[in-house]
Amino acid sequence: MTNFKIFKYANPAKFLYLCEKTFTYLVFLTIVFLSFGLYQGFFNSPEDYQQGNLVRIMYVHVPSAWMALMIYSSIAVASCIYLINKHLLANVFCKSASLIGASFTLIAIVTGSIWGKPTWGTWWVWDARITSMLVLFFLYLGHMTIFNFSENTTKSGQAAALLAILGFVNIPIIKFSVDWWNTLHQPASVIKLSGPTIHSSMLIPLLVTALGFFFYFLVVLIIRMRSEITNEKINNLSFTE
Amino acid sequence: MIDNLFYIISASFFALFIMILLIVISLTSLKKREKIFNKISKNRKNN
Repeated sequence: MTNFKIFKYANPAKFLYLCEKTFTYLVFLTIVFLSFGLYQGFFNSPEDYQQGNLVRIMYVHVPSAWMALMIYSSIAVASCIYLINKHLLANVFCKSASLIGASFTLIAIVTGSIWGKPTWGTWWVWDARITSMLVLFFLYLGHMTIFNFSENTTKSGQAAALLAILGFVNIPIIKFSVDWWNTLHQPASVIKLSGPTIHSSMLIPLLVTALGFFFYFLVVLIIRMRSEITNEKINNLSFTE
Repeated sequence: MIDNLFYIISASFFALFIMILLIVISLTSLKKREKIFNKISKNRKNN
C-alpha cells in the first residue's frame, strides 16, 4: 500500500509544496468554470416545460448535493487510511473537509427547500431523500464536534474516523432512496445506468457548474489543510517549549 | 417578468453567501494561525 505514488505526498512538506504550485491554477479554474456554468445555467439554458424558470435553482442545488456526497465519501476513505496507516495528512484532510461538506449539504437542503415551496407547496416534507440528506448534515456536525471535543488530535481523529466510516452507510441510502421508496423528490436524471435523461442544453451547464464547485472545494480544502498543518506545528512547538 | 424570481434569487444568494463565508472563515483562520506560528518561531530564534 505504501508503494502507491500518492503516498509520497503524505509528507506535509511535500503536500504544501504541491499546494503552493497548484493553488493559483485552481482559483483560476474555479472562477472560469463557475462563471461560465452559472451564466449558461441562469441566462442561456431553456426553461423546463413543467417547472418554468424554477429549474435554474437546479444549477446550484444539484452540484451542492453531489459535492456533499462526494466529500463525505472521500472523508470515509481518508478515515480508513488514517485508522490503518496513521497518516497525519489523512486526519488533516478529514478535519478540513468536514466543514466544507457540511456547507454544501446545507446549501443543498436550503436551496431544495426554496425550490420545494413554489413547486410542491411546502418548504419541507419528511421524504426519504430529504430526510437522509438531513441525517448527512447531522453526521457532518457530529464529525466536526468530535474533532473539537478533545485537544488530543489522535484520539479525536480516531473517534471521528469511526463515525465517518459508520455514517457512510447513509450515502447509498441517499443515492438510492428515490428508487427504493416512493418519494416526492424526483428520481435521478443524470447519474444513472441508462444514461442521463436531461437535455444537453441543461446537462452541459450543470456539469460545468459541478466542475466549478469541485475546484472551489479544492481551493477551500487547500486553505483549510494549510491552516490545520500550521496548527499542528504550533502545537508541536508549544509542546517542545 | 421572470416567474418565481424571488425563489431563484434567494436560493442563488444563499449559496453564494455560504460559499463566500466559508472562504472568509478559512482564510481568517489560516492568517491567524500563521501569525501565531511566526511569533512563536521568532521568539524561539531570539532565545
